[in-house]
Amino acid sequence: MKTILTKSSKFGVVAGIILIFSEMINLSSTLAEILEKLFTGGIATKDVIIPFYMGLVTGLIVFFTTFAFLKKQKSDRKNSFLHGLAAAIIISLVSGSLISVLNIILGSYLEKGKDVRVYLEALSPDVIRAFLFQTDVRHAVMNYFLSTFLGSMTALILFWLSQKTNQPAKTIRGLARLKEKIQVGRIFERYPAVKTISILLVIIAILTLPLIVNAYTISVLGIVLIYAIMGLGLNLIVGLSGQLVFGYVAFFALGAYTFGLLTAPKPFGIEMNFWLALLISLVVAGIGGFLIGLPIMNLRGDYLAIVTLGFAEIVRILINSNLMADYTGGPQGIKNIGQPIQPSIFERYFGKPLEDNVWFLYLIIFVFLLILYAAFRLQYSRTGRSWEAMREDETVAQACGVTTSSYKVLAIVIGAAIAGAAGALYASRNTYTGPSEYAFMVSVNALAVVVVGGMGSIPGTLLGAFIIKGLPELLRDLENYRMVVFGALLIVMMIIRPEGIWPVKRRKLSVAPESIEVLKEDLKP
Amino acid sequence: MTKKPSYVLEAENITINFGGLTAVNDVSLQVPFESIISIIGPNGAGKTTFFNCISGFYACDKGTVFFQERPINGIPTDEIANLGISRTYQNIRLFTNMSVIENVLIGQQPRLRSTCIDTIFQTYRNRREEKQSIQKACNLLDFVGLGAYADDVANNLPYGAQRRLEIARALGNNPHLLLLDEPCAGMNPHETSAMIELINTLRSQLKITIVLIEHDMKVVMNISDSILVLDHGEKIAQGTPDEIQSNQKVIEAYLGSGTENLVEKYSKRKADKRKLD
Amino acid sequence: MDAKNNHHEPSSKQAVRKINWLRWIVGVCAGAYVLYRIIFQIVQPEYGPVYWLGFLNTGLIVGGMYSLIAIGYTLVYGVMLLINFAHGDIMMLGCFAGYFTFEFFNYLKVGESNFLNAYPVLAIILAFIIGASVSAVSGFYVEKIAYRPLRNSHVRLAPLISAVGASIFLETVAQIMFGANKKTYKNPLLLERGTGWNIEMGDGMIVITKTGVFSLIMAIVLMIALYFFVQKTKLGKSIRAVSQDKNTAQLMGINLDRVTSQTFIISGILAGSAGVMWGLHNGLFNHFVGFLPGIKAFTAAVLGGIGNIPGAMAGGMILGIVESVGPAFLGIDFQLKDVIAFTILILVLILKPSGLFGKSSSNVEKV
Repeated sequence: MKTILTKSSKFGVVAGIILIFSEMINLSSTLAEILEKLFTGGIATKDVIIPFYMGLVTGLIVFFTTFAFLKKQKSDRKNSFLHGLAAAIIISLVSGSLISVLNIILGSYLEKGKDVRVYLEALSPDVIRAFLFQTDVRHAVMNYFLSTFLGSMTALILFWLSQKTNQPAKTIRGLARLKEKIQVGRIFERYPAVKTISILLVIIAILTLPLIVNAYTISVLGIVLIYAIMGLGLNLIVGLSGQLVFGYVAFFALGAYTFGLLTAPKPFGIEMNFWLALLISLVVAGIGGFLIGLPIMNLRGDYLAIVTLGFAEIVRILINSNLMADYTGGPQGIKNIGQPIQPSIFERYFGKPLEDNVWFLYLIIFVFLLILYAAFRLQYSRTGRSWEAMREDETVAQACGVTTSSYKVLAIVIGAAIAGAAGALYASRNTYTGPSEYAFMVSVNALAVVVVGGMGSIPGTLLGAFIIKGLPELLRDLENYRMVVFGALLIVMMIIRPEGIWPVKRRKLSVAPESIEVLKEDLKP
Repeated sequence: MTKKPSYVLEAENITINFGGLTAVNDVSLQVPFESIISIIGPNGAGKTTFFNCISGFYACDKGTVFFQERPINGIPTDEIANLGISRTYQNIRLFTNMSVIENVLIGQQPRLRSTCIDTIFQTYRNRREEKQSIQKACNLLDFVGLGAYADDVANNLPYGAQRRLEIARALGNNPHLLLLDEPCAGMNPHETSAMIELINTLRSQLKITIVLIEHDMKVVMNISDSILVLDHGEKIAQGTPDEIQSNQKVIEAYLGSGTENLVEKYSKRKADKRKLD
Repeated sequence: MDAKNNHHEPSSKQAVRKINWLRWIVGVCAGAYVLYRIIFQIVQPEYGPVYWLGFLNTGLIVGGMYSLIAIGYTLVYGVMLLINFAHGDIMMLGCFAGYFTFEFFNYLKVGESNFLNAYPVLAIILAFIIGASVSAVSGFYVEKIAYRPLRNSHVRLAPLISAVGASIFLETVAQIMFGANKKTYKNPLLLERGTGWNIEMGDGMIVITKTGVFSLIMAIVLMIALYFFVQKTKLGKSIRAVSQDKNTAQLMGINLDRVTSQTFIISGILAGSAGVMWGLHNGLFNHFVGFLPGIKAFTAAVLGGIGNIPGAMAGGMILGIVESVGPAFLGIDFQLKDVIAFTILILVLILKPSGLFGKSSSNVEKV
């Protein structure tokens, strides 16, 4: 009984801290707003959040904590309902009193007419009123206790029911069995034609997509694909060759600025052909990768991380500085960057030329497919295998004959070149490039794309790009919390699923062996 | 190759120091073609250090290593693999998250010539080489008896199979010389005899010269042409298995001094055994 | 197989030698340029000696803070072989804690004036204690949540990626909670910013600020204390033992978990103090305050040889001085002083990866 008391109060404190934390960064009221929109069917949102949803969010947080507690207790020993009840009450009381203390303080400030935004920017008076359930402090405290209590009780009852009926376990088992039954991969193996047809279908779907979606989706798709290209490049460096590059944005910026200088009317006025400029920016970024890779090719991985980070900062400061302002435009950046000319074929077939953004999306898809093909080829080849061996065990890889230093540089060069291509596309798409677009956060986003999807896995990288760049566009309300979630996601992914959402699968390569005579002939030194 | 050199490997007066500690002191070894040479000695005798020196992990402080009459001192490990020396490791070091066949393909690295440009454009050379190397890897796996595991992840193999996979990987670069670091460590008698058979086949069928470190005397006495005994970094004896068995210095190194009568007992028992046979 | 033909040819890919050549070229070029600038400055001086002393002054003050943060990197690297990427953000939290403490004391009325000016010494001590303890606690929890579960991870990059995650999490949480706009430290009158002693010298004047002198002395005192702590106490000895050989230290009965936690607490204390100093001396700060000092302190740690505590102290001082003298010396824009710091990082890693004071270790792994 005593252990239950201490353990459950510990969980109560955790729940309370989560509640306080999400109140301090204003997350819970945002969640309440989203829930309200969801349940009221997106009817015009009023300025005030309905207290019910505020309570719902609080209750949910306590609900999950209690559920986690009960589940953990279950694995320890068989617990009785009374134990669970006591624990649930303690959790609700502890977390309720913690969150109440915070709200009493905030509420008293509000009543005195003081604005806490000077110190805690997230908490405007409206937000605090929402946290106080639009009533006074005394009622708010009661409401908090009520919602935490209801939350933990619901958790208790649900847990009890699920244990009695064993329903969730059955459901999960059923789902697993269903997954085994379907096994898309096995069908592909058995009938190669199915694989070809489905790949064709996917390509057709991708090709028709830009024609049917609206302008906003086109712009989101464009950015997602550009990040997918970056992810493919970074995946070669981080996922395959196992070197951590934090300053990936430097190569992106190199590509973008090279492209800008070659195609913009100012400062040089070269206004080069799109494809040629794209190729040159790819090469320039590759050379940048070579220069940064060469001196550090026999250093430990974490040095590389910081060196590339420093390199990215150097690039960012230089393009922002007065020193280079004549070429890079300083803080103003480069404007009127060239876009590719649409060939007249489209006009002939469709009667009218494509819209500019649709045409550009096709272009991005084309470059993306090219790079996807190259990345795919590289990964399943001698080069890719050597990279992976290096990632697994560098010493032994070298002793097996992999010239690790050159393979490391090769990975950085190819990855940098791909980032250069992505940068060129990005600059051309926006017809503008400026120093503010190449902050450290871009590198973090690219890294998150690779890590979340699955290091070393190409489909994982695409999935990662959709999650990292696509989902936040869909969930506009949570925009502010994007980076918080990324940070937490990087940690959580590393702890519970380091191989990513879509881990890499080993290809089947084996063929029937020949006789030993062939081997003898083969192995003659 | 106009004239065949007399030895695959010649190590002359190798000395290796770690700070103040002399791990290997003035050790020489000559390895003739198609022979099996064992290095034995108590723990910490400098056997693995000697191996590391041959395979390029350490540079020796004094002395020279000749591989087919070419000095190979201070050459990085990847080039040594290029020249045709392969090795396995005392504590198995596979590329654990890669498949079994991919491990063997990495072993063939020095023999492959296609570049990343070839790969991207799928040139004829790349496709031919890929096909050949996969075929060769499968043959090798079949040879060491792992044909059925080819597409499994290396980490999931049983212990004995992992040892065999290391050998298959080492064979990938057509080695002249194969260094095996405790190939039978931690194996049961059944696995050990299978490993002895494999090592014998390596020599008889594939004509590979082998140097191995082993603690299991049954293995050592069974397969070696010659045995080198190290103790505290010094070479204390070299000779055929029979010579080593009766060498007083070797017995002292293993059992301590004051064991003179043990030798007599041992040779007596051996003689009895022969009679029985 | 035609590949067999060049079996016995000596290969041309002698990577190691190539690197040495590269080192020589880069080293000679960098050395020659620095020499050229020295001669240039002697022949055609742009700045009088008074300016140089002024730069030196700024450099020493910033260098002291860099040293404190760099020690944290070095300690953690020694124990965990991990670059604690969130270290700069731990310093940022300390900076915020000090800020709130001073604000609180400013509102606390004592008689006629407020607490801040009635008991300035006490207020400063309390601010340092609170700043250091907030940083220590956050360092402790960062290690516990983000690094400890990954100590035996089979993915080599996992701890480093997790560290980036922790860094971003702390930074963005601070941004949302406290706002992105810059805030100003409220110093007690005793340590007012910008005031100090003016020293007339020849054609100019150096201002030695009170906050600067205070920060430098504080940093030196903390460093000496840390040095004795690491050398003399039991905990310090176990930290050193763990950085020498983790496994043997464990066999000797050292609790690795506890030593790691304590290392994070110590480095948090130093970073938090540096954060409060940063606020007192520079005044303006926001959630981003830890990023640049963090990377630069890492540079300092590398400069002194990572894992080497006196090296980190010296490295921080050297970096601070070079960074503030550098732009004038090289005749470039003061905007570019960060570029100098990062260039030093890259140059050090090319020329002497083991750092100025580090032992050059052979990077051969036991097989």
